[in-house]
Amino acid sequence: MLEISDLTVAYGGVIALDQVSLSVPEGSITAVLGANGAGKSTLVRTISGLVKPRRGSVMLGDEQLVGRSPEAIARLGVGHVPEGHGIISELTVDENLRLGGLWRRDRADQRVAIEEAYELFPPLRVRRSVHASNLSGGERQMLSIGRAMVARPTALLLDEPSLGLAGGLLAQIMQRLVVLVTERNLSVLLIEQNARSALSVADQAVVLSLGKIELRDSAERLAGDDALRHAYLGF
Amino acid sequence: MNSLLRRFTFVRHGLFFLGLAVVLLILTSFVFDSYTNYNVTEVAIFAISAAGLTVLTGINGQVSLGHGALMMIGAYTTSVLLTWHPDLPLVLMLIASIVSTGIAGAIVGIAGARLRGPYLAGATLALAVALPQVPSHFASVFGGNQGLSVSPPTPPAFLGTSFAPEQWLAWITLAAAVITFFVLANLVRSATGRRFRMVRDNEVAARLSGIDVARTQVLAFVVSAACAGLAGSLFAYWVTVTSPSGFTLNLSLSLLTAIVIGGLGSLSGAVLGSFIVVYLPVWTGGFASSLNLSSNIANNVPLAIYGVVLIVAILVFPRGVAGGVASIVHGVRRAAGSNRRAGVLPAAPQAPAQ
Repeated sequence: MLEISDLTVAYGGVIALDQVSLSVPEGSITAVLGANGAGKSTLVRTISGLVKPRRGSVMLGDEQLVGRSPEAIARLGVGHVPEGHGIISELTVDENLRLGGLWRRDRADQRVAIEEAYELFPPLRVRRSVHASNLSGGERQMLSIGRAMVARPTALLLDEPSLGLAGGLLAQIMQRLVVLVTERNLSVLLIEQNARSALSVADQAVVLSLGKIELRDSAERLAGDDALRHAYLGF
Repeated sequence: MNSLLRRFTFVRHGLFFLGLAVVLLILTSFVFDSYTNYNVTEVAIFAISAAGLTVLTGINGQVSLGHGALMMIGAYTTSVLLTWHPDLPLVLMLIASIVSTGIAGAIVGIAGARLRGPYLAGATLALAVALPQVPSHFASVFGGNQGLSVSPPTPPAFLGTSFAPEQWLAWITLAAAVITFFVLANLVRSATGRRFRMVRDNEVAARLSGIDVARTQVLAFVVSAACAGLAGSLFAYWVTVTSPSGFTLNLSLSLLTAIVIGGLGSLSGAVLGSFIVVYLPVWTGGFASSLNLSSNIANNVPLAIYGVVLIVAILVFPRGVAGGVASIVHGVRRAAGSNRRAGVLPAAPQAPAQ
């Protein structure tokens, strides 16, 4: 369970997140929707320690994440798939996967975890000895999620996975994500501008606007309510 | 067999470097004369240091303009110890220099881990400029500007009395170089090597993957400095005089030139680059003196050719000579239709992260 409470972040005098409280239960996906500049990326960056909040707390199970370094937070079990994927193009697909969970002593389990990543995203297995610079956008996204999973996280933060992906491919990746969540009992926070795609897989959704949570509901209801959709999501 | 070799990098590298050692042993013993052995020794010393810089700058993305100064620490460690205890064995000197320079590298690395790009270059530049001033202030220990003399290692008795000292030093240096490259080649392919590259390419992604960026950068500095220390120690034996004038900013810049010309981030590029940087002045010097020019012009011809070669090399091989060779090999293979395995071509080495 990822529990965010009263989280406030400011860049200089500008408030980017204003008393955001949110809990992401295990085995479920919470979508965070909103326009550009709503504070979506700030939220995930604060959870993973890249941004220091002014106030508030982020708990993963019994561990307080606020005040820890990004590498310490990663080691506690937060997998962050950054916007733009953060994969190393000079290394092969397999080598990129082996960058996941480098701090863990259990090498045998790392190999098992890499095999599981290949099972999760079969296209990667075909391309395992290809340099990542030759991958398509979809394959990069799979690789990035796969690498995060190799570390065996308990919470997964996805920042705009739909960016630059074709619809069909995105749907495939989202389907794999749903499988992952139920199999591994993950707490997933899914940041998206593409509300339609995010709502199709999420359990609950929040809409951020200017750093505040405007709306919080089950994904199903949000997707089904035309008035809400038009007002907040623009489709 | 083939798949076995591909799988076990360590075995493959081991066989390759063993073969290389045998080839070098034959060349230095039966093919090269003393003068060639003397020059080859210089190339090997340079290559050891350049390989260390490749790990730091090419693989880890930290630009150092101070590697000449680190070599100086290695050279002075050996020279000072030899002045005190002339009978200590050479291996001990090499190890002492590796350790002392490694420690110096850790200190520079810890300071440098907070600095990026041009700021790190500036800080290491300061080291390259400041350190050669130290011996003249502590002349009693370091011999001032005159330096300390070092007697070259004497060949062991069983090799016979007529065995050339140049050949003996060439053996020692090439053995050190082969071992260094073997260790570095494995390091670069290991988890640590991948960590180095990830820190270079994307610090944020590295931290999100649980990598301690600062510690990784310091480690790269220590590895790199240890190589410079080894090279410095051998350099002391090679020149036989350790003085500040041997470790000017020029040396640091030549090292950087070597790895860029050779191919940034590639160990074979470090060797090729060292070969070019060391041998080009030798060849062009001979060429210039054969032209019967006035000494004023003849002295400057090698410099001019050096400049032209650098410019042409950068234009023709933007990824360095090693990168150029790799793409030619790739092109030939593709033309031959034998390019079945994807990803044969190493990706372009990228500019160090800002």
